Amino acid sequence: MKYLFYICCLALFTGACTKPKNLNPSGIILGDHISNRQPVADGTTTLDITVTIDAHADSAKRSIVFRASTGIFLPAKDTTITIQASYENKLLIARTKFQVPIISGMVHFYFYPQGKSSQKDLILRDSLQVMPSVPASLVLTPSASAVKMVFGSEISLSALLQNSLKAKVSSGTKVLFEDIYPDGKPVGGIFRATRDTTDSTSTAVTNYSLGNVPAGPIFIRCTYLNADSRTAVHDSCIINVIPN
Amino acid sequence: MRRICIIFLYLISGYASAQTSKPPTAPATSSAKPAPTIILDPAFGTIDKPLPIDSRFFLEVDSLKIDRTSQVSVYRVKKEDGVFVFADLDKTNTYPASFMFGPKDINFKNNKVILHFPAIKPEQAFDVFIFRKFTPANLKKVMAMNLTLEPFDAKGRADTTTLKNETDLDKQLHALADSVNNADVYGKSSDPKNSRMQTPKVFAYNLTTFKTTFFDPEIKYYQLLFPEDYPKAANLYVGWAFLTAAQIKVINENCRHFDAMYNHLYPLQRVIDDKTTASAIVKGLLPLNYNYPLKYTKTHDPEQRLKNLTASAKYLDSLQRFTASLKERQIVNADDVDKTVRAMVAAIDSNQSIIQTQLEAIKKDLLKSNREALWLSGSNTKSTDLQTVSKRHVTLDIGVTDLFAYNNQGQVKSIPKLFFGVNVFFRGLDKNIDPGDIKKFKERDCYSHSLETQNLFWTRFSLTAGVTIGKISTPDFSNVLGNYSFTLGPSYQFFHLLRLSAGAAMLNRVNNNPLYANNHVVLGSYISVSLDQDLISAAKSVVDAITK
Repeated sequence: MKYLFYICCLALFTGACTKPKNLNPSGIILGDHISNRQPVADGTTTLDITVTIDAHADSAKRSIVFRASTGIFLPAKDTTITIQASYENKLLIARTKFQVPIISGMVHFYFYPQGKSSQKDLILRDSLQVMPSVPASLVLTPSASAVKMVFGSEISLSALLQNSLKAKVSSGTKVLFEDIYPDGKPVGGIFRATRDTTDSTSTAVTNYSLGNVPAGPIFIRCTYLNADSRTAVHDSCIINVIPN
Repeated sequence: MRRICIIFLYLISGYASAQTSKPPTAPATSSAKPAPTIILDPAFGTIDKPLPIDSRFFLEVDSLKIDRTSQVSVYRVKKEDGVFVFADLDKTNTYPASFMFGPKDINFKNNKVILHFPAIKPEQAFDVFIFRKFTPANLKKVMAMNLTLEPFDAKGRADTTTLKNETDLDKQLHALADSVNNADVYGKSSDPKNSRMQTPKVFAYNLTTFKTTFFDPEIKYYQLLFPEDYPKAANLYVGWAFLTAAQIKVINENCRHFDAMYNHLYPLQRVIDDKTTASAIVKGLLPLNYNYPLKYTKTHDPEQRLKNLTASAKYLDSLQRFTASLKERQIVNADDVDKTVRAMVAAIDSNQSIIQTQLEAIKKDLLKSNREALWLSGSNTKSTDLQTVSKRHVTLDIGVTDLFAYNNQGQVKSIPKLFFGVNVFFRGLDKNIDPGDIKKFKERDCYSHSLETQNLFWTRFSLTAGVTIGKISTPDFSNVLGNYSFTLGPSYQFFHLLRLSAGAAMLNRVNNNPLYANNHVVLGSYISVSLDQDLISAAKSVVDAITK
């Protein structure tokens, strides 16, 4: 009888422990969907992103974290947002909007449950190629229409670039500022504090002054450079050189 | 945790006080531990307090003639279909006792019989059967009944009917039954309608065995034990050739009217050629004396027959002296007459000797087998069986346990906890007994030992349900319910103080799937050691101390 006792103890002792099953990440977040996989990096375009999760998830555990390497999720206006999944056609779906960045390139997405798990790598990864927003028009605007010779004054110049949809162009679009006489010869003025690539406002800026040059009108021209090559997208303005 | 420690200390102190406040037990005997004394009322078979289980005890019986008690047998009884039956009854209708007390095992003290019982298992019913010597009066009756049986020898085998027809014998038997038992309590055996005693049945197994048997277990009965090796009487007594008419005539012609012998011849003359009478005389059934008609003694009592033979011998002795004188006077044919009378005297002497020897053998055998039997308790309407009653099947203890379970990384984690355990036993249990106190009687094949506690396994083995106390701080795990998790498994008592258990544990493992709730009950293992003491009694004593 004692042996029976020992056997019972041993059987219960060894048989009772249940080893946890390894989680299958693909069974937790089932997939994602991005409404446009080739957006342009104009900083304004928004995409619909949805993530489908296990339909049996507990109601309190349906929060999904969306994280992007760049760009922002709306309305949080952040690269990270947490969305509660809800049923749509019997599927548990977390849905949000993503505003593409103004910089072209790869955008990496990470989707994972907000709940903790000791098992790592429960992240669904995705990525998106954001295409450059190419300028179709350029408007150069000076801060004044005249400038004094021999560095008597300085004007600022701003070039606004827009694509064919009148939206911003990708940040980093390069432009070239140059000053020329009406006959086409260079004036040789000084461009200071020049930012010859567009920023998030789709503008490039510079400050301009000149030395001892004859009074009269000159042109300041801004040209969009594609791979350091001049393009047809440009704009000019007339600046009068006046005596100091 | 501090609260738990305080509770634990309270329980320990309560246990200590419970131990010290135990009622005094029976006076110590030669054994190390004193055993309780149970007093049995022999009139009704009732006891003054419950019989202990798994513990030796003394059964004290008052009002028994201690000098007559010679042996006590204990029989196990169980109920089948509402009827009490002897559990030890085997196929041959014999009753091997569960165990038996011999003369050396019976203690006589202060005019009481004290039986030192071994430890008995719980939920057992048994009857006590006492053998004792007959009272002197009853012994005489038994003796007389046995002597009465003697004439059946001559008939070869006596059958039951023959004996049943012996109404005198039957009456004597009933009277004896009423005497041995308390007829006021159990009713007279001669009145079957009102008696709870079974009517004695008489069986003649052979010429020399006479035995009553009473084997109805529902009715208290007694048993008269007659010697089975009753000495076999000689079925051929020494016979004789009775005097012929011619020989009587020789005597008659030679005696004178004034001779005493003249009158003595009258009985002889009357029995001439009466072979039946002659045969009865020589066996002592009739006395040959100076009276006629001869008084036939109905009894076959050997003592009476010896008296008859003595009377016959005295008569024939005087006749022989007379025939001897005729021979001296050289009377014709006197020699032949004298020879016949001498042969008759010799036959009487021989038969006297035979009967005397038989009588002595009967007496000797009866004295040797001199005993009657009496149920001290039994399954009838008046007295119940003696029964051991189980006290408890559940105990409570406290100890430490170590839970083992796989965490979410597949590693076995150890979680030590304090716990309370509820031990469920599969048989009755008295926590206050000392397992070392359970000693078996000497094994004897003739006893079944069916009542005795012989195996301690079930007193030590239990199923233990445990409740762990306090939060679980181990990562990945939490309690099943509030601050409690649960365990379940077999347990076994070691060293009288510790209980070791191992089995399955139930606790929460944090769900590894982040989409699911945390409460995920899993099975683990546990091993525990607890203080195997009667915490229920301890707790009770603490409560009593507080409330009083």
